[in-house]
Amino acid sequence: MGAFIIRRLFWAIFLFIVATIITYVIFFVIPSDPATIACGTHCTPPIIAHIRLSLHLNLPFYQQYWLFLWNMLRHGSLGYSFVNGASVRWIIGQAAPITGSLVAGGAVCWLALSIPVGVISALRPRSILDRAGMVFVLIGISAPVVWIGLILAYIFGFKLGWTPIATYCNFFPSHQIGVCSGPANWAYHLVLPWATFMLLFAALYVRLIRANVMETMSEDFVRTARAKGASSARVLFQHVLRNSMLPVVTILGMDIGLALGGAVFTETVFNLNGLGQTLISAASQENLPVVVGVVVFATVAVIIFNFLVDVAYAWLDPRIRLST
Amino acid sequence: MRRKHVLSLLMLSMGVGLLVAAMTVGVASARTGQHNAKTATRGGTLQVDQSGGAFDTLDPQLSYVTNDWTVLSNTQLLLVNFPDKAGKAGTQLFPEAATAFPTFSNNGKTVVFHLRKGMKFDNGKPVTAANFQRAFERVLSPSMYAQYGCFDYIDQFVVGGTKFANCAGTTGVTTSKHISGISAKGLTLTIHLTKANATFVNIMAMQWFGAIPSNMAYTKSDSGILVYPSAGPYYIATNQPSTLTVLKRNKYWHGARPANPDTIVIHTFPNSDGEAALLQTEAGQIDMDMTGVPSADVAKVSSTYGGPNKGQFHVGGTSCIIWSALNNGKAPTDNAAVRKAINYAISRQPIIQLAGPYSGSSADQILVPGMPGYSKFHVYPSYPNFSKAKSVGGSALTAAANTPVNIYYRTSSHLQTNIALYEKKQLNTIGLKNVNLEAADLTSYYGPLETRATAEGSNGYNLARAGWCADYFDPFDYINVNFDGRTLSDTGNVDYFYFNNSSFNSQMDHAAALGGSARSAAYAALDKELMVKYAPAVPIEVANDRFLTAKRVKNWIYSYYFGEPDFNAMVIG
Amino acid sequence: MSASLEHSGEILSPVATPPDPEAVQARGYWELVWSRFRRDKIALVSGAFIIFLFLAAYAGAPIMAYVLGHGPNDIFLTAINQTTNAPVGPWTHVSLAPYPGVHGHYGNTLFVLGADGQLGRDLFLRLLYGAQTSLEVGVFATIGSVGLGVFMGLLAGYFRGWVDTLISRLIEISMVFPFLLFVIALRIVAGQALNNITLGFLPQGVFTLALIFSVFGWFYPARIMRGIVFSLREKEFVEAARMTGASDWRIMRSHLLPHLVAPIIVYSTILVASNILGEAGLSFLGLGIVEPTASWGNLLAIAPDYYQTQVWILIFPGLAILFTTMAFNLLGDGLRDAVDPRSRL
Repeated sequence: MGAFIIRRLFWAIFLFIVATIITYVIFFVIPSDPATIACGTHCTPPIIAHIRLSLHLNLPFYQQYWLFLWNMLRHGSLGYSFVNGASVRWIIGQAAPITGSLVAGGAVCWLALSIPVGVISALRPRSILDRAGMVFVLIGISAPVVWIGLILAYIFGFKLGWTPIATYCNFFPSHQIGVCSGPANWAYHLVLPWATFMLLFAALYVRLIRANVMETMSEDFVRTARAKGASSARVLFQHVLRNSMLPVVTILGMDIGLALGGAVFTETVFNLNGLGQTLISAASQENLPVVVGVVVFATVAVIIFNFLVDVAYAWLDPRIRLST
Repeated sequence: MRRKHVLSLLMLSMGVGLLVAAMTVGVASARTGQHNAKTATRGGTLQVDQSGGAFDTLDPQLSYVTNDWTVLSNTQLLLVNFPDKAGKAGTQLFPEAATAFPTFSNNGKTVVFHLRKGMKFDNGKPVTAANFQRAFERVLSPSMYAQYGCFDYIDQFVVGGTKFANCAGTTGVTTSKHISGISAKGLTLTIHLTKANATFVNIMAMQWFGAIPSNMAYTKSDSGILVYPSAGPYYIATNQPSTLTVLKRNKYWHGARPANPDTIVIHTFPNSDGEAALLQTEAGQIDMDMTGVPSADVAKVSSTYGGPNKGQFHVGGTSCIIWSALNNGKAPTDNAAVRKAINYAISRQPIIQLAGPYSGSSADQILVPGMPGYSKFHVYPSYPNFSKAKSVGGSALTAAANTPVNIYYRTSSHLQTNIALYEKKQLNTIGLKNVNLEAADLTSYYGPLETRATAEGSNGYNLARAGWCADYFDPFDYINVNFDGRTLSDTGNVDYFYFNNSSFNSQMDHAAALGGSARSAAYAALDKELMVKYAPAVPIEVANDRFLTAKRVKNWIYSYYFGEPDFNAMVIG
Repeated sequence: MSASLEHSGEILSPVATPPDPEAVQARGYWELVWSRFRRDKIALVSGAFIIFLFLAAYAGAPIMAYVLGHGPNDIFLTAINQTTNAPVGPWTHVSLAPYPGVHGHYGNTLFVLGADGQLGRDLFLRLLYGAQTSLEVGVFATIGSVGLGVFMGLLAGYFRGWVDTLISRLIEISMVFPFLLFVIALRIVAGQALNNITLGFLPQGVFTLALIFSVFGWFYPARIMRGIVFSLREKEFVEAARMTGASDWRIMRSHLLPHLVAPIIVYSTILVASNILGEAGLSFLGLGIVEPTASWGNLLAIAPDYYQTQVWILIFPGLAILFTTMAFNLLGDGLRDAVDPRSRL
């Protein structure tokens, strides 16, 4: 187990380095002149020259990258916004909790919905419930998220008045007057975004879980357990669920990257200034440090999450430790 | 002030010595709600959204856009200011930080302001004349890079200003420590003018000239200094660009203007189409969207809330002329015949229809109704006339058939996208085949317009929707400020026309030197000549603002001057 | 919304079991597939719908434009109701007068589904022409990513060893990037230049989207193909081919690739659906197809302005996307069942 964790850890670090190099090259080296971009609207050659120095653009690429990496690791710094000089770390610190809340809460919701529906569909294939589940799945996969978000906002937020229509509240209670906060408010304001966001993934996971459960049910060890006279509930929970959930865990790990990006549509509909919105604003201003910061941050989040999933998986399923 | 995001029709003039004329075009009165000061009560948090845009900056000497000034009007302590009163009373200047209107001596060339005692910044520091002196310096200093004061000729008005600002020189250098013509001693601010200036007191009501800390630094950053002490009714407590701005009441504030809400919270969503904010306003979850009602929703909102100015739906006039700025520095709009052809092809009424009901009234001149020198004329039609456009454009237009024509627009605004698409089609129809749509920043629309290199570069704009609102009530502020090409510099330009014509320059100099009715007549002639002979812009309309407020908001007082409501006067019921 | 792009759930097992090589005696296998497919009514209907859609997009659109007498990008200021300022509703005869209120006899033109917004363009024609754009993005992006993916998968699965290690690691690295965030950033920073590439026949923006979706979509098909080739390589017929002295390329081209046809078709069908959703998503953010070109995403982007008042503007493009993606998904499911009845997904 220890050796496995160390191996995955090294791999995660390698991934991190490669991903940051690629991101840095695409956004900092390929654009014609970051110094001119950084200089903004009120610009003269002496300022550009000064900025070029302060951004270390005069150094060879590998040294630039090394400084970027060093600042990130040593000082936790991702640089400063070209537009207003705010630190990128601070900007991400403002946006990440919003996207994080959306994705984490959404993931809990879609698992809570798709596991029971998927299992029941698998146990009773071709029943009315199974068919209804499949219709739900198809709509979830095929309908544009914004479409669903708008309709939910109009019906539940406006017409019925059950939920807030838009905006975000901080999870941690703050003393700042006029800015809403606290866990209850936080969750209440996220009800609609979660519902919108989870729909797509819930649909995919129902499909996935249904297939996994059906496959596991036909495996030899399940038949053996049945033959030995285990109750069907025991077979389901002890044998089937445990085994059919393993691939779900892996896929959850891989989906987190997709989810971080997919959140942008939900953010747009519900006025959530999360990572996606920050990225769109920054990219349209060619605010390169913020663009790179957001992409690197999200990449690191994916790497860490995948690492944790690997470890959890290996812990759940001993075979994995030997094969990878 | 230049440029408006949203827009208007009813217009009032203002000023001490100037006329106060109310022009109504379509909307009977912009006065709404209970604006009875006695019912006004303090307390609560005003929740405002800003959809589909962001503050350019809230640095008082770098900001020059309507939405920015709306915020600053809550935080700035000015020497003279407009009271937050409805209707005509709101257009009469009153001495705010000054004890009285200034005394003029030395043939009107020496102005002395005496400041009130006991005024304080939100950090408890007393307000002195040095705080106002610093504002002048930050308006003019080349160390600020954006020397907006140069466009308004502030340097030429004040003794020593030209030397201090060195408007034609390089930016970024420090010239001298202080402006020689301005001296601050305790509570006495003395300003030496180069010549008597009837509008000088009005100019002092611009948000640029509010009290700021006397050591407030020069800054290069586009967003300027984010948070700084204020001496007005409120101060900026939080300023996270393009997300959140929080204003809190200045606890030392004892001025005449109200400071009703305890806190004013402004959430900014640069990429939003405003639909969520509209629903939230209707549901009472926020108080208003300062971007206004999305144009496609105006008709429905108006009918739901009983029409304009009957309750929660407010239509207010502005002094703002909305135009498609034509870039005179970039082919093919550097050619007058092409610019005139574009005026015929685009025209006004279709764009006004795109903007929805109550958006404004058609205009094809630079000056706005009520302005001295305003005299209505019709040079260009309200509806497109393609054959006329082609004949006016002549060979220059034919020659430009394949020259790229770039239309600059804000993609997050469906209205601006629609207008850009419409303009593209009109230009195609008159034979300009290579028309491109250039998407703007979400958070800084004006940056690329201000910089000569980007404006005149290959991706520069030929057409850009913008507008101009009064800084102070004088035709000078519309004509000279926008069309004097000698004030153009490499960066920080407030005029987006890049128009420079030496004979017109000298005519403007001549008009600016006149006074009284001769001045009005001269500007009326300039206004017409500009459109007939040069057509540097496509004027569209004198614009209206269209706002929806939540049910709980009372005491809606609309400032014609800014074309924005007074947040500080609003009462939360 | 485009989070469903190449969703990993699809990948692990849709076609995990390759067609039995023995059965690939050309006709026999495909006849079997066809006979199984024929029995799947839902898949047949979906297939018919997709054929209809292509016909509607490429033949129907110009025909309808000709019949109605106006084009999809024509602006009709008269298609705005002058009292409500709202776009006219379905089945309205719109005056051909240049502007509202102009007197004279200009005649009318029919807006079958009403106008698309304040510009008063014909929603029906824009839906039809938008189908072209959306299908082009869907198909070209799929060809790009599947083509690249199959090539890489073949290499990795066939050569194994360091080639496989390299490609597998490349796949793992690519999967670490938050796909959509990266696409958004790239689209804005580099999109302007790419938009001008039209290859002479594509609308502005289609190439950009197809390229970006391909570059960020190849590794999913590559993983699947690698797995399949891995197991195929052990089969006797590959061994036999090698014995006869066939070169590696020849084996890959003539012996392995035919076995991949079925999974490629199945996977591509499903991928087209997610690419169409991807276009809708990016266009909604204003980062997709460049206006005035009609695409379903562009139509959907206008819709929020009217979702309270003129709901059809939201409903029609929404349903078009819903039905189309559903049809591709169902067709994909049907094809998978036909190709490999043992697969349960």
